[in-house]
Amino acid sequence: MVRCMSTSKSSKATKNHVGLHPHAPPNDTELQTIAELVQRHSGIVYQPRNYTSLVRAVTNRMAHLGVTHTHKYLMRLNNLEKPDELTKLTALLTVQKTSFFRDRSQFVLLEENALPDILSRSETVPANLKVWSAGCSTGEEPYSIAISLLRRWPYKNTTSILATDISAQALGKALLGSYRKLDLEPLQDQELTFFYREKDIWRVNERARSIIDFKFHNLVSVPFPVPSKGFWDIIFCRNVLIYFNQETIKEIIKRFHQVLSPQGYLFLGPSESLYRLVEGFDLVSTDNAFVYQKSSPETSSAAKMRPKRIGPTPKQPIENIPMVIQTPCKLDTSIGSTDIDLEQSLRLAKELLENNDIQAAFHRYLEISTAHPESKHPYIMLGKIAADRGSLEEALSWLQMASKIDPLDVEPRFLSAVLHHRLGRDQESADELKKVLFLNGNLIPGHYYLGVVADHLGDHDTALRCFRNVLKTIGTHADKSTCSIMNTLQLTLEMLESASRAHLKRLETKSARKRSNKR
Amino acid sequence: MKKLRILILDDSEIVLSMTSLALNEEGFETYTASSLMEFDEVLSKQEPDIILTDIKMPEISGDDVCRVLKQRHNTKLVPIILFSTLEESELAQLAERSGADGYVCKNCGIDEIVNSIKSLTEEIVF
Repeated sequence: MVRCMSTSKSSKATKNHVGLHPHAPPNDTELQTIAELVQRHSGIVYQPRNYTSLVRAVTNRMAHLGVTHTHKYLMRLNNLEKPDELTKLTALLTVQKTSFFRDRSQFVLLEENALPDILSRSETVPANLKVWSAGCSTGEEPYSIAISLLRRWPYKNTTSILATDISAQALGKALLGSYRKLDLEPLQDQELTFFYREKDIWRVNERARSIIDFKFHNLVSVPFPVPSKGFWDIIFCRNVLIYFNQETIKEIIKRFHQVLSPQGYLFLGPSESLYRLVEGFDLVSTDNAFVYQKSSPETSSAAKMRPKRIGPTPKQPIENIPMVIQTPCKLDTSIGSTDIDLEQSLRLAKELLENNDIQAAFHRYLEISTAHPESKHPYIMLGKIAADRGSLEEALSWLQMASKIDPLDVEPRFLSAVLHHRLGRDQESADELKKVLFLNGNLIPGHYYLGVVADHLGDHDTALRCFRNVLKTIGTHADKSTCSIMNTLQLTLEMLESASRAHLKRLETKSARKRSNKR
Repeated sequence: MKKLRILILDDSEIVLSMTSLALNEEGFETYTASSLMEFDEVLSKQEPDIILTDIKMPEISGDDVCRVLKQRHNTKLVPIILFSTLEESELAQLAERSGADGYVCKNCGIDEIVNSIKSLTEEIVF
């Protein structure tokens, strides 16, 4: 276990390290260990030839923390209970160079080809447009997407963009939406109307800002986000895959395929190609840009990765598109065509869990979720494992995937509510618990938790009613969902009964005191 | 076979979304309305086979909705089911007095709600 450095020592060390590094730089073995930790955490691969930037980032973090010896810093990185340091180091390692309308030809393709195609296929009027900007850095990309979409498609209320990044610092800047004049240079006059000026700072206006939701997301360690309804119409993940090894890229693309709508679009960086890497996508190109489109079910087996052309005849042959990934690999993206038997796989994974081989069980459930995306069970289990190891946001994402598959199952909803409560989001927790109790009014832990959450929110009437409901329902037969949830939370009916009585006593005394004070 | 269309009126978004999801899974087509304005809008565009209405709502009570609809020429033949957390005896009385075609207790859990609606629709429609 690492003890925290004292504040005084830390500040002294930081002062000493401004501009120079008096301690010995990390040696090759230490760097190799750090590179392995970074790769395990984020999938980003560091070869010895790139160690210069690794050394820079490590010394930067050590100076910031006031840690003078690399072996001590390694202990911090290895502290599994506090993975924050690894996240911070990784954030420093990912280059955040970006600009508005970077590779403008891709935005032309977006506006003139992809968008009209999506709108023409939409079944709702106006269409719901859902875009994910994965690896959004400091916000220039999602704001450029917002501007592109809004000038072509003015239905702000049915357009949403999720922008995610691994760096909390970059996200913070993106969220602010404040830029210098220099940053705005690539913008055309009409595009500048989406900004307003405050002294030397240019801020993104509410119209563009309001359709973007910024969230932390690691493309390697957590499940991929999905919109509340359906899947993404467009995913932007540009100049991000270059950080990963082929195995990780294949996994990421496979996940993108899962969360994209049929015939949805995947924008990669100009130097990133899926050529001979995965199947399930068609290459669509114009004069100066290309994009991948998820193959439609009819063409998926016959025309995988077959180039499709839109717009005028190309000036360059398609083969000229840079290919950074060239190892042949067959990716099974079909649903339900795998020979893995779901029940048997779940049983094997459960055995691993029972034998305390948590890591292996987690990977097995991951595999099952990929092979059987229609099954909620692996997602529930992944959520439980992630919650057990304290990754609450990750657990929440897995459980939400399960709820998406079976929205009427109370178990993932209930567990999500507990996690929202633990994350301090009591209102979300209460909303979810109300749904749970509407679906199953006999769910005793549901009544108990809604009581606790309502109490936190200051809604004492609801809290009183809920704790009374626990006592009223406790005599009834505990159903399957109640048993499973009680088991997961290691609760017994006796515990809930005595806790509810204690809460009731406290709340009743409180309201009696309030009444007498009023008199 | 044509899907039965159910219009649900309830001021709780939670009840609307969960009930509608559960009924969709059972093969019903659903329309939802959380206010009178939305309710009228749906009725002007759609012809539901059954209407399921909550009782305690801020704008109007479900039994009054039932009385009004039973007088309108275009809705008087549409079966109406009251849907509430009230005690069963009270709910039964209200259904009788307002001319509703049936009632379903809201706090019995989604499986029972769906089963009750299914058996009521079988009785009423066929």
